[in-house]
Amino acid sequence: MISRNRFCRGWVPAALLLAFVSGCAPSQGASRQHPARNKPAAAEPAPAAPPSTPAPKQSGGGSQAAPAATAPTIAPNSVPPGALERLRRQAIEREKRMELQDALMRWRFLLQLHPQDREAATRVAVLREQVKLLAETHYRRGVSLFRKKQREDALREFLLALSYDPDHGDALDYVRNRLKPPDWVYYTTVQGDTMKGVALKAYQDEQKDFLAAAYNNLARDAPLSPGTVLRLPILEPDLRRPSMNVAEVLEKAKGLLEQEQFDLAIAEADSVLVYDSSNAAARDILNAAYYRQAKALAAQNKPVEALAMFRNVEPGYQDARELVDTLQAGLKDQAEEHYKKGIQLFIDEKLDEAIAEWEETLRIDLDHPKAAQDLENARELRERLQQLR
Amino acid sequence: MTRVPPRRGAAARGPGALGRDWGSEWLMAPVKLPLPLLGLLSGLLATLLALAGCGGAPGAPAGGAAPQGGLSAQPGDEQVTLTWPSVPGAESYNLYWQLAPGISPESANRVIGVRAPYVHAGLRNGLSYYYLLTAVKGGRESALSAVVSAIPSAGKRAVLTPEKPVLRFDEFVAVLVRPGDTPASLAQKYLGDPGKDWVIRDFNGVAHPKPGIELIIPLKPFDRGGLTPTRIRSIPILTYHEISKTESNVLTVTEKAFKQQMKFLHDRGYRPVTLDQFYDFVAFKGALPEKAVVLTFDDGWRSTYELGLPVLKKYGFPAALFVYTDFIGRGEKALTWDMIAKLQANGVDIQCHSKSHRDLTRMNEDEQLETFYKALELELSRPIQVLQDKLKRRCHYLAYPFGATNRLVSALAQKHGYRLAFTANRGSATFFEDPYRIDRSMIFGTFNLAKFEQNLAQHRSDELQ
Repeated sequence: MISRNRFCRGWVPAALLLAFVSGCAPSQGASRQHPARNKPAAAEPAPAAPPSTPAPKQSGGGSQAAPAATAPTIAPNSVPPGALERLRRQAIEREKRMELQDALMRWRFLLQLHPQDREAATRVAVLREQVKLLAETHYRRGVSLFRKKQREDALREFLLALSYDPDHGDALDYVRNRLKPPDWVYYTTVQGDTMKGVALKAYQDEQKDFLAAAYNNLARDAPLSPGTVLRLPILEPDLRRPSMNVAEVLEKAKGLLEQEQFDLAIAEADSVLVYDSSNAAARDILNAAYYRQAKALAAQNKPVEALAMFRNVEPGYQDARELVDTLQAGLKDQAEEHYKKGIQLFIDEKLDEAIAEWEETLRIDLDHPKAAQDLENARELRERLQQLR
Repeated sequence: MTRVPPRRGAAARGPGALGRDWGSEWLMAPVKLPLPLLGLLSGLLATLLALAGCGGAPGAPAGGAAPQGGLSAQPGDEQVTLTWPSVPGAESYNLYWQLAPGISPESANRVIGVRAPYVHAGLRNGLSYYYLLTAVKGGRESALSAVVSAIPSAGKRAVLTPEKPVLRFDEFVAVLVRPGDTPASLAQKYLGDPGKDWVIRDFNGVAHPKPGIELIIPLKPFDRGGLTPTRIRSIPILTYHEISKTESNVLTVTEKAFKQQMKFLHDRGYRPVTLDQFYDFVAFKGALPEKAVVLTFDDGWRSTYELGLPVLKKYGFPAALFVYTDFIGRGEKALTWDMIAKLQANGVDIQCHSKSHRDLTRMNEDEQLETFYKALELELSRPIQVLQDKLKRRCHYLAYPFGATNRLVSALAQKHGYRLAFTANRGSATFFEDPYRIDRSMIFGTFNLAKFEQNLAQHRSDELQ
């Protein structure tokens, strides 16, 4: 599970070279076999930073499948037909977004397709080190935070470690196991232990020996040889208490409603309905929250948003139905205008704009009799045209 | 019983001692060697490293199987690219190289003042080049790094042609798209599953590849857990109960609304995935398409078959049905086993929702703990057995009745071999959720499309800020 080698590989280079700088190692001055081959740094400058734009093509270039002598021109926002250039572009984009693991993968693929590609070779070498270092740095921060019991922060660091190195087993172990509270406790038996004795230690009640036995698929009177590892489930203090205190949650929801924290009130009422779908008080709170939000939106002259909100209210709640009818009547003309505009645009062969107008029609009037079908037809037409191009 | 290594923060401190509350897990965090302070004797460092099992002590002879350390060499055409991590305080670096093994500063050629990455060009392909590196400060060189070597190679550039439209590598396949090829047909051919067409689309950024375009088909997951340094994927899991032609209430969605919602998912490019695919995502083994969503149905209502299935089939959406086995075949509103078998044959994954749908976290007033515990074991084990008998398949996933769970219930779910267990807390799921407390969003009959859409949130970024 925990690999010391993983840790050591990350630290050997820095630790070793750091010790070198301390001056403890002997000087390396010595005769050279071929002084003529000593090249000053200037003759072989190394690139200082990764290129931020695609490097000039090394050889060949362009689409590998294109038989023509000239490389095809690729428009800035189009998809390059050639895998090499697409991989390169994507790798560079991902490096900019710090998605280094993804970028590294694409550079590696590119290098396998084109082993002479110097940019790819360089980026692979650089990114390999970079992801290792970043992953290890975040991992170590995570461990430090874990020790200080700052679990949220520790989780973030471990996730960052994994984002750079998904194979970082130690970081994954923390995320999946160590940062989660357990559902049982391990107990290793000693000489003389019995199931009753274990129950007394674990639950302060030897009558709960059945729990220790049954959970481990053992008989209650099974002999326990020393060194046996038992898993002992953790018991809640009061198993007769309902898993939700409905009255308490409803009180909280009402309080939030009064404070006009509608989203929070809705969430609380929601949770009661999941537990008890017939709870009328929770439904009342939901209706009230949606209704009041809808009225506020209507007062702000946002009829479309208000109508959408009213649709969450049960029909028959106060005057919701009348308010909805009024809003719909007012919006019908608006919706029809957008619909007709869409028709004209469609006739003018401006398909994208026609679709936008019909989407707006439905946004205003979800039940428009024709817009939904026309929109679906237009989208299908657009998809077919795209496939033909 | 075999000895089991401590997991999940509850390690025993030793025989006869109970593992503490998981706070004591802090004591179990692995101890890492701290960075040596400047001025430490290299010999002490070598000893520490040797104890840590790293090998490769500084100043040691560079022969044999010395580790690569931080210096790495990437071969290219008539060149080798060398990189290494920077050393604090180093003013420059010297590179030593030679063609024969057994490199030493005395025998090698030296290049003074190199910087990373360094491209050693003008080489001969096919020959082995050996390298050492030193850091320089104040005119003095450090001890030597580990030896690395590389063989420059011309390596032919891979070319896709109509005569040779496929190139296979360990991690990917490169294909030249031909007339008739679609992402689904290519996914079937190279990934064994047409449903993995999204892998090809997402990786290449091409929705409709045309003939003549080259595609890369990765053979291994490339976005495990949906995790990048700036965002975390979260997968919405939607839950339905009953569907009705006329009624709607909290747990009943009208047929019209259900159709609208499935159409919404289809039109907006959402991709329902199976529980197995979701499990791979949670286990950090697999990736999921953008806009992945899981569709689930609870209980075993007949309307799932009569009204839900036709809509799912229309769009080719997979879904999961969590049945509580006491319900099946009981009354005209419940599914029969025949219907369940047909659902399964049509891509609905049948899974467990307990035996009787009792609240597993709550003892009845007159119930004793031992009776309650035995009832829990039965509630979780019986559905597995029933599904095995009736459908000849193993149930791997559990939806808690009422979404209610506690540590005892979760422990029992693990004991009975469930891979994942689901609550009813509204929310979406990341890969690092507790696998036995995965949230799902109930879709109420009162939801409009806007409210429905609110349950489809896909990304979280605040956790990484």
